[in-house]
Amino acid sequence: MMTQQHVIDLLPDFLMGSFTESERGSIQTHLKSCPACRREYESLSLLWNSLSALPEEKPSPAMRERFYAMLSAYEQGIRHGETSSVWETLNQFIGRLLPSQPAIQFAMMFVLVVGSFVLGSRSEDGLESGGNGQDDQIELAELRGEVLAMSRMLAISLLQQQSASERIKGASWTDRLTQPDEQVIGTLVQTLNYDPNVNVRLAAMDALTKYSEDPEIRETLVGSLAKQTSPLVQLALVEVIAELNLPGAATVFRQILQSKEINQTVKERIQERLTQLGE
Amino acid sequence: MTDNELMFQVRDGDVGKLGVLFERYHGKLYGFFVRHTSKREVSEDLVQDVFFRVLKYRHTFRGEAPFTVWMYQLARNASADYFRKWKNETPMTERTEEQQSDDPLPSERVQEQEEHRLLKSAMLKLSEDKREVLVMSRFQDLKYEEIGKILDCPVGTVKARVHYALKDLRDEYMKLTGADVKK
Repeated sequence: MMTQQHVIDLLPDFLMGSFTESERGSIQTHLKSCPACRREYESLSLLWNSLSALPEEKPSPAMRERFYAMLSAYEQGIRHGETSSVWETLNQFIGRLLPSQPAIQFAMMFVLVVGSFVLGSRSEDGLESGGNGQDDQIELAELRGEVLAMSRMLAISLLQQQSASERIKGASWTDRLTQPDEQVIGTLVQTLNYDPNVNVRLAAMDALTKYSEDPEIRETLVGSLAKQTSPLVQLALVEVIAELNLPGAATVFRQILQSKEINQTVKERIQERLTQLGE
Repeated sequence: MTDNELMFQVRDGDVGKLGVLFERYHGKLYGFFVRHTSKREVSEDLVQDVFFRVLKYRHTFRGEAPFTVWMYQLARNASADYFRKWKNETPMTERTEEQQSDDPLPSERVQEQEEHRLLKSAMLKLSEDKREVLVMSRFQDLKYEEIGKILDCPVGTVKARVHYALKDLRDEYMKLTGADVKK
């Protein structure tokens, strides 16, 4: 019977609460009579129980927001799936020919090679003056439009990649757009507020800062501070908001200071900045 | 509705139902990653990645095993990919586990927190495969049979690994505290 045999090998199951009542009974009887097994049981069960006393780990509330943002983006993607854009068709077409995100590589190449030629020539006055070679100029303008459209799609597409380094690339690609449209800005704002990766959020912040003369973007940057959970991004945003002296800076700083979970370094920096703002 | 029923609906195009599964499991998954990596932000990234993978691979869900088994398989892949990619990079500073409130704590709470801290450090000293089975069995409420399916190994192996994990944890904990838990 079990009482004669050592029960050490059964201990993991025993700790898990497996076995029938009578089996547990015989193990307990053996434990009472066998010091070696008892010692093993006592030390293992002590640890087993102290593990259960470890407090539960809770994610930040931003995680839920990010999940639902991703889910709704995906749902939208499915809905528009049938009438897929030129971009997706291109992606699928080249995807059949080459492995691993080839459309993105192709688009990058296109923008870099054609773009450097077309955008580099920058003959804006020539476009308006007309005269000789007007057709060429129109073609050039069309090509330039295509390069910009491609850059725009590329930036958005990169920002939606699963890999963080691709998303960082996406944020910096927006630099190539002289006038990013609403969709690009919207994606950057979404990235700043909800991207799971700190480095990507910082890159999006840098990209948005370049358009800080736009009142809406100024507002977005200020509003984003309350949404950030990482002290690193908070610090960077505090600097930007204070440097650019964005409207509502003092109000949002005071609001953050009242939050209980604020990191000590961020708190001190905000206090310094508030003093500088004359508050 | 059961997990598998929900996941079948997600598979068949009603992807909004993933929200229910997210609500059921994101906390558990987050705990799994935090216990395993001790990095909070990385763990949040990984949870997001798992649910992204659920969407990406939803067509492959067959429902032969419980949804959780499939989910933890995706979780292990996500984590392996992450650490393979960032193996040689030092992660940026992030919130550590211990940073909590500034309020002074009563002494028994301080002692308790210290014990928790040591226990977590001891956990991190375990080899990855041992830590993994310990986290799954102790914190994720998974049965040994389910862990066996997730890891694709016999139940006996899982049990033996949990046992070794506990022994190693005891040794590591003793090294950290100088206390003798054996007695």
